Amino acid sequence: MNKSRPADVNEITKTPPAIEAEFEFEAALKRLGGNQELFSRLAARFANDITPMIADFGQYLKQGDISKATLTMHTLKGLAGTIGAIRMARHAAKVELRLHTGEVAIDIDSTLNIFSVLTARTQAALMANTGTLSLEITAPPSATAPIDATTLHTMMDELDTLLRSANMRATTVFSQLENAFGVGNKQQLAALSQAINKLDFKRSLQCSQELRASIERIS
Amino acid sequence: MNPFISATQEKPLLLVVDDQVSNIQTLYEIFKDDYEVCMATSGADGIAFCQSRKPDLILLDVMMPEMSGYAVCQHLKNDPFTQDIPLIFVTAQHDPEEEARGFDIGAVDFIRKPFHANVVKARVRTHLTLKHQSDLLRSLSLTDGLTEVANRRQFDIVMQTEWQRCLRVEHPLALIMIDVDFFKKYNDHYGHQAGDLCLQSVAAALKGHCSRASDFFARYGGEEFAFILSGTPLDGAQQKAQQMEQTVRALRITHEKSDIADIVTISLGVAVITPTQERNVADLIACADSQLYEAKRSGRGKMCSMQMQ
Repeated sequence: MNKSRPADVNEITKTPPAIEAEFEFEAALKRLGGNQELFSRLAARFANDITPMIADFGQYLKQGDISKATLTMHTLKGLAGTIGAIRMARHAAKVELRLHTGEVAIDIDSTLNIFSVLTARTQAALMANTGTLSLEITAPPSATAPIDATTLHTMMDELDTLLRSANMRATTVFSQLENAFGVGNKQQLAALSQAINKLDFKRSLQCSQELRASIERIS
Repeated sequence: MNPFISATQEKPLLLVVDDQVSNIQTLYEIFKDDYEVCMATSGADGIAFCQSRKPDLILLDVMMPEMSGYAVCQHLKNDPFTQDIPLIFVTAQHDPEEEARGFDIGAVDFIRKPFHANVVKARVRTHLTLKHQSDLLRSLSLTDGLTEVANRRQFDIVMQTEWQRCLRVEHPLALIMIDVDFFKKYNDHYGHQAGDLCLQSVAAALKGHCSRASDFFARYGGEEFAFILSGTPLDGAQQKAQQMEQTVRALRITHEKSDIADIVTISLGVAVITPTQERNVADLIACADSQLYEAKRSGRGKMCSMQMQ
């Protein structure tokens, strides 16, 4: 990769000019219909995904895989824009355009430095805004009474049906199931939770079967 | 509030195809109260979903690894089973050329990320309304207003389709032409309103004989009906025709002016052929028609049949 462009990391690390907002969280929240829970979840996912995404981007650049690097910038632009990380989104758009047109060469180290700085600032700002960056699906307050076996099986049957049909309501039913399990038993749901969070419904179905087997062993 | 669903109807089905979990979750949160939302995280999975379960509308990302949204769109638009599903691109691309390309290959709309929840809702609602109206219009144009079974136009379409299909797989194709006996006398004696009711009852009873997904029943014109049986040999078609004749007798619709019974009866002409390049649909219809004529000539209230070579 050509290194003809000077590093412009200083341009990013200095205080942004007043006319360019770095974050527009309120506008993003408004776009999401004021759904604070959704915003927090998206923010958490973004904060968790951004570092490996930038690492992948660096790898693609080093390998000369411009197609994948461009796609990664495109994805980053969209995700950053959705949660209101405006400066990150604009910078990703700029890099995407450069990669797409091939008109301006990319300085890999400088680009990665800039993203590293933007990542840290975005994560800090999101943390300050949402208070937590947990990826767990927020369940309603935990049930006080322990769930009976019949109800549990009914819920798991419904979950499996939804997972098989790629129906997003599976995430809602899982959230209810998590609540029904109670805080103390959440570790039993860890694998399923992880798969559901990734929307890997094939894996979720496997985890659900394993969970059933484990519940039957206990009872 | 969704304008298409009553308390008893199922919610419209939206399919979101996007490689990014966050985008799918966002759209799910926006639509979950009004629609059933399913998802696919790759273009290939999205196509597979549509082939097994037809969504009412698709929200499709443009830039995805392995298979782009454009490729998915083209695939769906080239498949007769999926080509009428409205498809909206949801993308972070802000290039008018790309947008035009999306419209060219069949998308109905383009939504740019980051999107506003209310805007996306409004666009989806608009396109579902259009889809609902066009489905209704198509259904009306292919349905007989009196009997509510398929009309002649739809018969012509299905007949051609089944002919081609049977030609391809070398399966027999059966056609049963049906005529209500002495219907003019029935109309003259009982009046046109009673005549309409008679046709409605006969049509509803005969439609009940569609036991397989491929069975097709239509009003051919006046008091004539037609039944298409794909992949059915002569004995199967004869059996079906006899059952239909019995079904109409079992309705016991009084017909004092019939020359053969005191109730409404039907005559049926059955023709069966394994389609070849040398023959055509008109040959099959003509043969079934001639068998119907033979049934009427030889006393009515019966079935005549022929295996075509």
